[in-house]
Parts: sequence; structure tokens; C-alpha cells
Amino acid sequence: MSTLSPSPGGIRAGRRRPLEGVVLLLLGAAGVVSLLVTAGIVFTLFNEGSGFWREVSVVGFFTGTDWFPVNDQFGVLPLLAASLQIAAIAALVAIPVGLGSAIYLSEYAPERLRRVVKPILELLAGMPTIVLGYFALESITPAFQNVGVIESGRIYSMLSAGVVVGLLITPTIASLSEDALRAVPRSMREGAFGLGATRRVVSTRIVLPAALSGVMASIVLAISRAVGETMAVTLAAGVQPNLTADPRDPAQSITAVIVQVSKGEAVRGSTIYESIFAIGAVLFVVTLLINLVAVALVRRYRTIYQ
Amino acid sequence: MSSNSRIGGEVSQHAENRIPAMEVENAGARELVDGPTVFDCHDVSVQYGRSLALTGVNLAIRRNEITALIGPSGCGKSTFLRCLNRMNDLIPGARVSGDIWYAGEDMYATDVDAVDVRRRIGMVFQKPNPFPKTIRENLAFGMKVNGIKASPDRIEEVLRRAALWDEVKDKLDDDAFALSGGQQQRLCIARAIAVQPEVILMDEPCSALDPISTLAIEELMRDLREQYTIVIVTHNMQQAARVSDRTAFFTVVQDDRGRYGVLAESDTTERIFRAPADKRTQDYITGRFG
Amino acid sequence: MTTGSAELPVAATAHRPLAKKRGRPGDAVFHGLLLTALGIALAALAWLFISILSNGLGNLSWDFITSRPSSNPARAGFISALKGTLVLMFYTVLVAIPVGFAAALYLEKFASRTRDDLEAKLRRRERRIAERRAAGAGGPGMAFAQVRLAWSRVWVRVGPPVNHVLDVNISNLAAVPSIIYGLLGLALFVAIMGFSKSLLAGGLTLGVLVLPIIIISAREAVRAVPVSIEQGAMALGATRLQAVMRQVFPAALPGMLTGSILALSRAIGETAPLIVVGGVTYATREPSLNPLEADAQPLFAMPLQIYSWADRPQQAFLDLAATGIIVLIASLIVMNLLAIWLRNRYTRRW
Repeated sequence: MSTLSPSPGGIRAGRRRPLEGVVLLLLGAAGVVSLLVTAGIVFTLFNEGSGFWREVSVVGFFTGTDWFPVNDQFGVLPLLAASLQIAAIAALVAIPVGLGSAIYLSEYAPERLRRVVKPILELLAGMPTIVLGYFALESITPAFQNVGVIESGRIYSMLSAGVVVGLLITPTIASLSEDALRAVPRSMREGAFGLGATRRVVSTRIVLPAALSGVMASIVLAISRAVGETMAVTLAAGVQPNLTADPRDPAQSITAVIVQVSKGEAVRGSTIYESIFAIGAVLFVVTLLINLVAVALVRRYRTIYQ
Repeated sequence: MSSNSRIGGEVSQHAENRIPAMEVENAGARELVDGPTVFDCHDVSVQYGRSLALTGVNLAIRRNEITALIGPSGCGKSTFLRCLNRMNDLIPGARVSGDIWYAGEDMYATDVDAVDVRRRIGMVFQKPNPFPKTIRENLAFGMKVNGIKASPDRIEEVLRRAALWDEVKDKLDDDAFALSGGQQQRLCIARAIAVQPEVILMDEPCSALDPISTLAIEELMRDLREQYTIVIVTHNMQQAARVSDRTAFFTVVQDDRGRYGVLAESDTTERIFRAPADKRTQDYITGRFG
Repeated sequence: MTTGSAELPVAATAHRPLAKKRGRPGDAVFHGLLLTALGIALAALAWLFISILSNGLGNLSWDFITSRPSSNPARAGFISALKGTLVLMFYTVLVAIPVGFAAALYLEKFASRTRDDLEAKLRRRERRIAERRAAGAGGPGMAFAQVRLAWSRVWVRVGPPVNHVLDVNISNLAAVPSIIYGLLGLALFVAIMGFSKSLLAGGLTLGVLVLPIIIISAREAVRAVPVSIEQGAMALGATRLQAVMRQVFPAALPGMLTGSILALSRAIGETAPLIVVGGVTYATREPSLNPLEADAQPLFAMPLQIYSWADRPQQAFLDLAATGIIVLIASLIVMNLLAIWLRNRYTRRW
């Protein structure tokens, strides 16, 4: 007690704590599990689908305009086109509705309204997609039939699927864009108001441009969700591969093929079983690219105001 | 009350002839004439929701002068400043009562366009708040909003007025965020001047700046006084003494209505600093309080 | 007042009077468009609820909840689906929560250190070893210290980029379409590990699916705990790990659980990955709730039952699907309320 000089067994030597090392290792291992999941996805998509590439030529796969497994025709174009077309219709619905809602909530709405409406929109975001598929089938398609956009008797169409997927991704755009808009410092709005700008001018010329990368990221993420959306699309757009430009036609998306094949008894090792991994890989790559764009955009918007 | 302010308006026409005659070298040597009032404030109170922020302010602000609003924090000086261009309108729950007459007109009359008020009464904020755009676009924004053509000549002119031209003339199309804090604040002043306001309100414009930038901006204010009426909120008493013609001292009162600001006194800056009438002013200025 | 204004023509030129309030058509139109957008979003949601309630309320009864599936729509019920979902959730929680929480603590508290921190630590370890060698220490303790030093040397270089990759990877995983997880589950659990197309395989798949979401929300909860708590513990002599496990983790736990419940409420409605893993079975028997028997139970759950009803042409089954949806949404709402209650009850403002 009388002296505080360090001794070999004393304060500076540091105790060994093997147990701590083990716990830390476990925590670290858990951190790495997420990496294993990604590796697992990549591995299984290419490994389980590897037989497919022996049966089907890569060129034929990417340029073929027919998906007709019974005839050994495996052209991904009609599926990819349907997925992208539905996503495009969804974007046409969701961007104006979602962005308009976001601007209204962030720049115009009284705080009390915002506090009520935002959770409601998030409720829509958390809605299981099977519910929206049912809604498309039971309500949206009949409504389109009533106004004569879709001929009566036609159950499936990309238009209904696109509209319902648009509803599905609207809250994503509204909620994330609203966050981005609100992250724009108030001082910037005040600066513009102080120069005699109206609320519309402040919203569109100052706040929106300042939040643009965050807003874009929300749109990109929403589109990625639309491309990978499954149940609503399967139920509403049907299971018939169809390369068509008419959005009123039914057409089978990549995801709908995977569902359709999975419902049947596809034997492991058969070409049809392997084909879903092949088109799953296409879907994975497409959404991954879109997501990477979103991540890059988010990073940019974080660096501006932090 | 309205006739009172009409008199203010009446005086302003005489003032047209008088102002050019006022040859002033610097703030210290300036001889104050009781010029026309620009703002006539009667019994102004501000509430945020249910809490009272400021009450009972009677103050006249005169043309082509720099009026400083000083006082301890929480005294409502910034709140009062924001009444003068109806900036408080934008804060949900804020309510302004009493009368503020701007050049003989009730600024808060129900048929007055608040957007026009803010176009004519410019504001510079505590922290420099350039838009995330280029220097040129920062200036052009307000000009376009007000229907003024943002010609290169005009841009050069306002940048020269804001003593910024030499520093930025080669980088007008650079991001305004790349400027230093002091330059950004001068850009914000230039931005305010560019829309040709009649009054410039400044809310602690130097509080985020270093001493050299502060000096540059004070010089600029003295320069701008010739053409504009300036109201500045500052917590820096030396600054108030250096640049202002008149000073209004706000203070905090705590009673059963809560903690709120009142105007203790207002007078020429010289008198406020040499011989304040109010004990609270004296305590504050001599550093015994706040 | 009137006399005054009559005498002031000059003042008007010196001081242009303040403009009267005027309509700005552009602004009004813009405002109207924004309100329309929000109105459309809310109206669509209302339409969705009305359409589901009007189709499904008629069948909703205690019998519906307690009956087994049937090919006769009048007798068909939801009990198998409900029990299947319960077993699925058991495995989802079992996989996702321990791994997710551990990963969140690691990433937030140990992996986020900068290169400078790591270098400082390396220097400390080097110094300590040199001192102990000088003091003549040896044996297994010394060897262990050498191993740790070697690891430190590697980690200084590798750590920061690895942690960055982990970060990007998790946010990417959260955005991978759920059907891809279905393919992963099918290949990994069924084809490679040899489970049957069962509740076990489905539950594990959903566990992997929600893992990134749980990690992200749990990290936020950990981040919300002020550093001062941890530093306080360390100032009392706790190691960093002790401080994290005994102070930070308990403090973050309510937030972590809230996020997990919300993640599970996403898992409960997932349909596509379950179809990919297990197909659409028409289970008529009730699955056992015993988790150990899960591999023997065909994969069946609420969303699958809804899908198989919605996929039939008869209106009676479509209406049953709506009834199933009502039960599904009701369970979602219960979970959300639970999460909100938990947040309000236990979350402290620091």
C-alpha cells in the first residue's frame, strides 16, 4: 500500500482472461455470419444452378425470347421484361404519390397530422405482400375491368400487378424521402424564406435539391423491392410467360416462375429445378446492382449534413 | 395607434431630402438625427404554444440607422427580430400580438402578404446558411424569386457591396460550402442585398465567426447603413457599441407567467453604454449579470 | 387615420405599400397536388382494408380459427396454419435473435474501432510483452500473449476494411428479395443438409431472412446507449467486454427486442420463401407444436394457407383467403402494439 511502483505481477502486467477471448470470438463469429449468408446465397445460386448451364447455352438464355421449359426453351428475356415492366409501372405510381406525400408531410403538414399519418403509411409498408396480391386480384383488376381498361374476363395483367406493387413501395419512398427532406437543416429553409420565397419555391428549389441523393436512394431502393416482389406479382400478373409491350397483358415475372416451379414437384437435378436457381441468380444480380446504387447515394447524402 | 404610425410615414417623406445631407465618417462620430421610423412597435408579445417568450415591447426603429438588440440569452431579442419580417409565421404555434407598423402600414394586417414582407425585409442568420449550390446560384436564387435578372454585372455589384468580390470572382461556379465561414456569411449578406431589400435584419451574424471575419462584417454593416436600415441582434456588447447607432436592451423576467423577455430600455448607443437609465442595463453592461 | 392617408401620396412612392395578400396559382396547384398524392396513398390503404373486411368478415368465427383445412369451404379453418406459423416463429427466433444480437454488439462495440484505436492497442500489447520478457516471464502465459500480439498485428491492417465490408454487406442483405432467401433455404437446408421440406427448414430460412434486419435494428439500439455508461463501468475496473455485456447490453435490450418484434412481424407474413422451400402443401392434419418434431411436419403457415385459398377460382375460397388475411393482419397489429408497449415501457431517454 505504501508504494505504487509497478511490479511484474502488478497493475501493468495485465491479467490473462481466456474466457473473455472466447466470448469475443463468439461475438465476432456472429458478426461474420452475415458474410456467410451472402457467400451462401452466391454459392447456392451458382452451385445448384450449375447443371443448368450445361444444358442451356448462356447466349440462348440471355437472348431467347421464349420461356417454355417443356420444350426445353429457356429464354430469360420475357421473364426479365415482365419483372422490369411491372417495376416500371410501380415506379410510375409510387414516385409521384410517394414523393408528393413526403413533401407534403415534411414541408406542409402540421406536426400533429404528420405524427398520425406517418405510422399509417408505415403500416402499409409492413403489409404482407400476399395481402396486396389478393387486393389486386379481388379489387384492382375488377376496378380496371369496370372502367374498361382491362377487358372483362381477363384475370391477370401486368397493369394490376404494377399498380399494386406501386402501392406496396409508395410508403418506402414516402417514408425514406421524408426522412431525407427533414434532414435538410431548417436554417436553409429560413434562408430561402427570408429572401421572400414561397413555400412551393422553398420546397422544390431548395429542400428537394438539397435532399436529392436521399430521395433518389429511397426511389432506387423501392424499385429494387419492386423488381424482387413476388406474391403480389404472381397473384396479379399470372403465370404465363409472355414477351409483350402491352401492360394490360398477363406476363410471368422471374419471381412468379420461381413460385410456379416450387409449387410443383421439381426433382433436384432436373433442368427445371436448376432453372430457378439460374433465374434467381439473374434476379440477385439485378437487385444487387440497384442496391449498390442506393448505398452509394445514401452515403453521399450522409456526408453532406453531418 | 394607427395615426401615430401615419406620422411615422409622414416623416419619412421629409427624410428623403435629409438623408443625403448626413455625411458620416464612422459610427463613433456620427451625429444622430431623429429620422423617420421604419418600424413602430407597440406592445408586441410573442407566444410559442402556451409559453410566453416576449411581452410588452414598444420600440421605434429609425431609417438608415443600425439598431442593436442586446441582452442575456433567453431575453427574446432574436424572437423580436423575427417578428420584424414575419419569420415567426413559419414556426407552428407561434403567435405575435400587439402592433408592428412598417413605414406606416400594419405589417400584421390580415390582408398583408407575408411573402412580400420578407422580400422587402431581408435577413441574415446566426449561422451562415448558404444553399448547397454554387456561389452564383446562391445569389441568383433570391433574385429570380423576386423577378430580378441575375446578370453578371448585377452579381458582381452585390458581391462588391458585400466586400466579397475579390475573393470569389474566379470561383463563382464553385460550391458555396467551399468558402470559409466568414466568406459564407458575407455571401449570405450579399444574397440578402441582391434582392434589394429596404431593411436588413441580422441575427447574431458574427457569433459563428472568427475575429477577423467579424471585423470585416462590421465594416460592411457600417458601409451598408448608408443605404439600408439594419437591425442586429448581438450578444457581444463591444460589437453593439462599435457598430450601432441605437441600442435596445432586453432582459429576462421570471414570474407567474413563466420566464420571458421584456424590453428594459432603448436609447442611443452612446447613452445606453455611458449612462443607462435602467439598473438592469447597467448591471449587464458592467458585467454583473448575464 | 383617414385624413392621414389622404395626405400621404408622396410616402407611397418613397415607401411602396406592402403588397396585399394574393393568390399564387402555382403555389395553390402545387399544394393541391401534394395533398392529392397523400390522399391517394391513404385512400388506397382504406380501400384495401374495406375490401378485405367486406370479403372476409363473414367467415370470421371461432370455428374458423379452430378448424382444420378442408376442401369444403364451409368447414375450412385456420388452425393448422396458425400452429405452423407458431413453430416457424420458434425457429426463426432461435436462429435470428442470438446471432443477431451478438453480431450487433460486436459490430457496434468492437468492430467500429478506427485504425488509430487498433494501432494504440497494438503498441500497448507490444510494450506489455517487452516488459514481461524483461521481467523474465515465460511459459504458456507468454505464448498466449504472443498469439494475441500476432493477431493484433494482423487485425490493424485487416480489421477496418473487413468491418467496412461487413457494414455494406448487411445493408445489402437487408435489400435482397425474400424469394432469394427461399432459394438459399431450399439449397442449404433441404438439398445439402437433407432436412425434409418441413417447418424446420422453413423456420431456419425465415431466421436467415430476418437476420440482417435484426442486426440493423439491434445496432441502432446499442448505439442509443450513451458511451458514458460503458465508460463508467470501465472506470470501475471492468474490462471492455464486461462493460458491454453487463451494462450496455441490458440497457439496449428493450430497444433490441422492439426491433426484433418488428422484424418478426415481417417474417410472419413472408410467403414466397416458404413456397420455394416447401411448395404449397394441402395439410389437413394439425402440426405438432413440439419443436423437436418440426422436421417431420410439412411446411405450412398462415400466408401459405392464404395463398392456396387465393389461388383457387371459387369465390368461397377467395373469401376464406380474406378471412385468413384478417387473422394475419390482426396478429401483425398485436405484435406491433407489443413492440410499441415495450418501447414506451422500457426505453429510457438518456
